[in-house]
Amino acid sequence: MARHLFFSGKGGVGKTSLASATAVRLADAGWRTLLVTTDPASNLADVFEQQIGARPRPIGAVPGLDAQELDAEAAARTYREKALAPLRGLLPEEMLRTVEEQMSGPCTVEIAGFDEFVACMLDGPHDRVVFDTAPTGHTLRLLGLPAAWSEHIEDSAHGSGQTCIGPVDQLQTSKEQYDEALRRLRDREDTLFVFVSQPERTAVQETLRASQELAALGICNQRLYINGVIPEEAAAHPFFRSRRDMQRGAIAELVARFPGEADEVPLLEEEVKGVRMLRELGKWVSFDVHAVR
Amino acid sequence: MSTPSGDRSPLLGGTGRRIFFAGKGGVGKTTLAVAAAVDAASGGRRTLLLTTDPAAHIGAVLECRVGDEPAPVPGVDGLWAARIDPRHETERYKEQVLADARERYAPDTVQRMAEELNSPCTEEIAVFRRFLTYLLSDAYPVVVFDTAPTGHTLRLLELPLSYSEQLAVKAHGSEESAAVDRQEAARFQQALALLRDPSRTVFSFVVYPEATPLAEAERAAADLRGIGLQTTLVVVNQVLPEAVCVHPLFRKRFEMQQRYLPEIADRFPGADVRIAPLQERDVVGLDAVRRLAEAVFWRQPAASGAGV
Repeated sequence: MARHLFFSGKGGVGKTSLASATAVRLADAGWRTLLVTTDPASNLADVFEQQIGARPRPIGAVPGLDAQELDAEAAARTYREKALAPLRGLLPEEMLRTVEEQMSGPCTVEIAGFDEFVACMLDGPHDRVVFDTAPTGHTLRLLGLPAAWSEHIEDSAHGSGQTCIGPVDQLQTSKEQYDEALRRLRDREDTLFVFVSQPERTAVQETLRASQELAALGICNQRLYINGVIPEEAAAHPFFRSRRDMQRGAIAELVARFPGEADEVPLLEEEVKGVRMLRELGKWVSFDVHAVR
Repeated sequence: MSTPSGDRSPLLGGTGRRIFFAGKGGVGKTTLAVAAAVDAASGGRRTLLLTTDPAAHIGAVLECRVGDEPAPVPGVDGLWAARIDPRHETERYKEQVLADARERYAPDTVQRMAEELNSPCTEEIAVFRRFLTYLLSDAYPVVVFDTAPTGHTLRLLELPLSYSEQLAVKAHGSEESAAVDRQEAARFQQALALLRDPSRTVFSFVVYPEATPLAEAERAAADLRGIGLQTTLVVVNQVLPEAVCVHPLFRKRFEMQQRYLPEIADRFPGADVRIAPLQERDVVGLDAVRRLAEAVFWRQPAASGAGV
């Protein structure tokens, strides 16, 4: 089974819950496991009902599980500062502000977050590392671009072409480390991308598009969870029977077209909070987690 | 279907409205945009509905074809619809920027700009520039957009242009390109003024009554407030109707949602909070759209957290 698991999907689909449940399940099976998030509004502290920090910290209720909240915003600030420092004194203050604003966008945060991920991927004592957010195909493509940009940032600030990327060579990760991370992402033995989607018609295309984007980059070890499926017995009222029928249509399409394994996870009656609920949800996680050494 | 009676939301009344629906993909922005547009047009105002969804999901909802140019929607007098294709606009924008850059800069600079333009922000900007044409047009008193620009995009539009203008004058450019830049900057200023005026623009967020989506929307709304754009409408989507929650699973989920509803008004100060009940079927066809519009924009008292 892959050492690194990346959970991918839009906000609100249950990504953090499923990533956490998977991490608990792996730790319960005897693997030394690290759960990592870069979500700035991470609710891991609520989910585990204990404090989580910027360094890996043991989860009291789950022996063998550590959790860590990476601060992508802070990493983005550091990255921006490193990029801007050499330009101070060279460019007018106002223009520096422009460059800073251009580098304050979601892509910079995503790249800085991925930079932190790479550090977690390349070293550490854990048998398994579960990431509750995955880089998008877009971020991975950006990092593949030529890296020596910083000397030219002045030029690009002059153009009318707005950018929010900034100089990639200011990342802590070297090009070699990045290449190594990408090699591991493509290695089926090393990395699994876990998509989380909802059983809705509008989610189908989006999930398939994200999956194809990664496949085009050579990242093909993918699986899918379809979360929030109405259980048959709960669909007693005609209102929910009708909704369940709609869900079945979307599920059939996802299962038919997604390139990896796809499993359903039922809608639960409670919000997933606390280790008891995580173990409950973990029953639906179908990795071969029992393959303990 | 008969004309709905009741209190039309004051947000959708009046004249000269630009209505934006913001929120994460999949929360129901497009469906609610269609409902708002049908409602506005049925109220007798010439309305344009714009989508950036490449699959033009509005076509499926309205059961008609939606193309790149505004066309009348059959069955709704005064409603027009068009699609803005993000990929197409991005390509067009890139071409334009690079053509301009080729005249001003060295080839290696142009090459680097081409690389840097491969960014999702580029797509957002390109789409927004296309929006501008419709936003500032007088042809439609009401324009409904199923996508909203983020604070980041708006700041980008506001900042760098003044520099390209400055630099064009000082260093590289011709008189002609400086004039073009100035014209462009003036358009952005005009657009920003329009967006910042709550009597002319409605900025709305579509959210689920759950912790994570609410936190995300709250951050995005704060970001917009930072550049002077007030969120004036929040539509809480997929709210479970109590009557159908007979099974314990749904009863519990109903109670969970009800716990979040009262706090939404506090989390989006100054916004009218509206409930969009979960529908039994996908919202497809005019009757279904009208039913939804009525439920969301007509029947509820302003700033209600109940009334489902």
